Amino acid sequence: MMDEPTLEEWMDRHHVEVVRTHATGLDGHAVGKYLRRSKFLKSLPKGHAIADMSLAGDYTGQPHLTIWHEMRSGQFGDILLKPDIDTIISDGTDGDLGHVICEFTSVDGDPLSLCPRTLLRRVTNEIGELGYDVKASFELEFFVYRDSFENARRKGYKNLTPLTASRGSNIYLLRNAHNVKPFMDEVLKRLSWQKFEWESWSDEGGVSQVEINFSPTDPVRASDLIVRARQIIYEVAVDLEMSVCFMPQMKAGFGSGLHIHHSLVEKDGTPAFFADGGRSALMNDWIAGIVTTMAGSVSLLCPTINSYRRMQEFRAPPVTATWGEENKSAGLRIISRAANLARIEHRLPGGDANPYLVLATILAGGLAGHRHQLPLRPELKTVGWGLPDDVPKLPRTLLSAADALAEDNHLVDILGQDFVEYWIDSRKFEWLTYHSECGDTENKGTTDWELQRYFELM
Amino acid sequence: MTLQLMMMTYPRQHEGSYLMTPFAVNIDREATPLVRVLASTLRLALQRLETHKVLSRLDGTFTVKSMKGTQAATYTFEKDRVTIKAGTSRKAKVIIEADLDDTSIKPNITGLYRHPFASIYFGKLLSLSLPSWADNAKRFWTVTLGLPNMPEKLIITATDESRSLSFGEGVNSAEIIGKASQLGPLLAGQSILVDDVMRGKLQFRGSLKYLTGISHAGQKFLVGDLDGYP
Repeated sequence: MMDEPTLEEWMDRHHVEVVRTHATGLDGHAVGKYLRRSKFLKSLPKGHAIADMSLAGDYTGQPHLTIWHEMRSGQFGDILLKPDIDTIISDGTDGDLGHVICEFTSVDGDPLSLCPRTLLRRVTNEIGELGYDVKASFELEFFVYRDSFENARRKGYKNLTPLTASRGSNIYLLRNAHNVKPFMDEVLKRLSWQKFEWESWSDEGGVSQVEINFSPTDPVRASDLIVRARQIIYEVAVDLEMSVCFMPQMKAGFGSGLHIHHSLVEKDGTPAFFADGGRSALMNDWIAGIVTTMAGSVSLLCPTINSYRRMQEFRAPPVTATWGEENKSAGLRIISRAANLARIEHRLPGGDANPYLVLATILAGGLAGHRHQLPLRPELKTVGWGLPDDVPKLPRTLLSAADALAEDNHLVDILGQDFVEYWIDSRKFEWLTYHSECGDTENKGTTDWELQRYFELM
Repeated sequence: MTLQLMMMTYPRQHEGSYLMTPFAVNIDREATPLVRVLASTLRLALQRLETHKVLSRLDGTFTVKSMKGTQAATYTFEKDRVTIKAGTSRKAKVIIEADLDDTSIKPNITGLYRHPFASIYFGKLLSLSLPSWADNAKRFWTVTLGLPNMPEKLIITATDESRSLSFGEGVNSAEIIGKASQLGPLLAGQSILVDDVMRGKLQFRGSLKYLTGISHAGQKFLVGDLDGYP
């Protein structure tokens, strides 16, 4: 974002006196500090200290005290937030404020295997070494309500007042969109001030649900956009005394996903997923890898108890490890009708997913397919829901998804055993927390426990 | 989802002159912590004649549910086995609604008048006691030996019995301290050390690494990842 030769000159020109650091913990929650300019500059290049539990804790702030990791330098120690100076931007609304995206490092400045952004950067670099760049873009879905967060809290996050006109499952309804537009205008103004490349937004299938589509960019920036956009959308809701929710399934009906499109291009920009009028061999390998690792990937794409409420037949998310050309009910929707459109859409990640981990996992699958020339399963040419048992199904619970990840040697190999083992233990911690604190196995819908835990923090 | 049944069958054993018949306690891979705790208590109690006497009087479906929350478990007894699953069942002939944290609170029983004896024996089954904390401590040490981040030496002290047990050798040690009644469930794999310490049930002396390592063992028990333990 900097267009000046030095950081200090950039800060002068943009009148930045305070910098907010922003990193993303394992569960996808944003953490950081507000630093005075002098303190921020003094902290460079290593960055400032932060408690180690900020990386390895759950949504409620509970540190993972049933899982040990060597990053913990002491009894309750610190790690660092190292700024990626290329991401610094001015706020646009707050005249003195700047923002910078960070990665977690050890106190010595060494990369940490648990840092989601560091992991994605590593996987992207491995693909770069093969001679390809990745272009990725997310679709961010969420619900927006007239109730302030305070009111929503009082109501137990239920029976909230929608903004939209329709109470049905309309989609793209312009009357709904018009009702949401004042809220979205403020969101998009702030996104644009912070130079975010959004392409479009629309009314979505749920009552009072919105989707924003972002422009394709490199994977790390694409994920940076999502974590920043979530924060901006939340802040606009707070400022306008409204509320928003990113939970995958906050109530019955449509849930919120985080669909991801990606493609590979040669270093000169030539699309690498297209050849001879259709899918290239590379794209076939890539699809084969993602489909082969799809069961193992579910844990990272669907990280909470609430994720699995959304995985229902005929409800938009895929439930099978399959792929199909222009088939939105398959595990992967493939688009290969033209070189500039050739891409893979993965429709499984929920609104609760950590975008860095989502992309790292999907790219790891593709990479495994390419490296090992994994066989491409036959294309699914039917509807992908309601299928008999001979079609491979995806795990539908947090625990079975964790078991599937543990058995996936391809993902373990690329994402790293250290990371995968910790992640699996953290999902088991989440499962155990649910069953210890709530334990409702009879209600198949979203529980009060989930609303209390996730509505405001996810 | 296909449920993978886990079955552990205990061999015939002599207790005095009484021949105890094999009895299987089945739970599924995704059994909730409550189900695991109930199953492990029953499995541990199968070593005692009293338990077999109680089991011989039970047949059909029984439910226990929490007075305070949504936790529930249903037992289905057959001749030589019981299957315990999460949740309630419409088939239950007896439903005991209890405070799962405090057994001193009188439970509500549905089906008592229709099935008085079955209610009494199911109630007895739910009040089975664990083996002594010392026996559990020996088993805990054996089963967790080799797990990462465990201390070389583990000292367990029961304050109300003025008794300590020490396992392993080495300078890297940790100590768990508390009343025998609180040590028992932890060492039977039915609770997590860090939770017990945070709630004031137990005390701990040692590094964060060992607190985490021992707590991780508890997590593994409660999610069904640790084999060879009831």
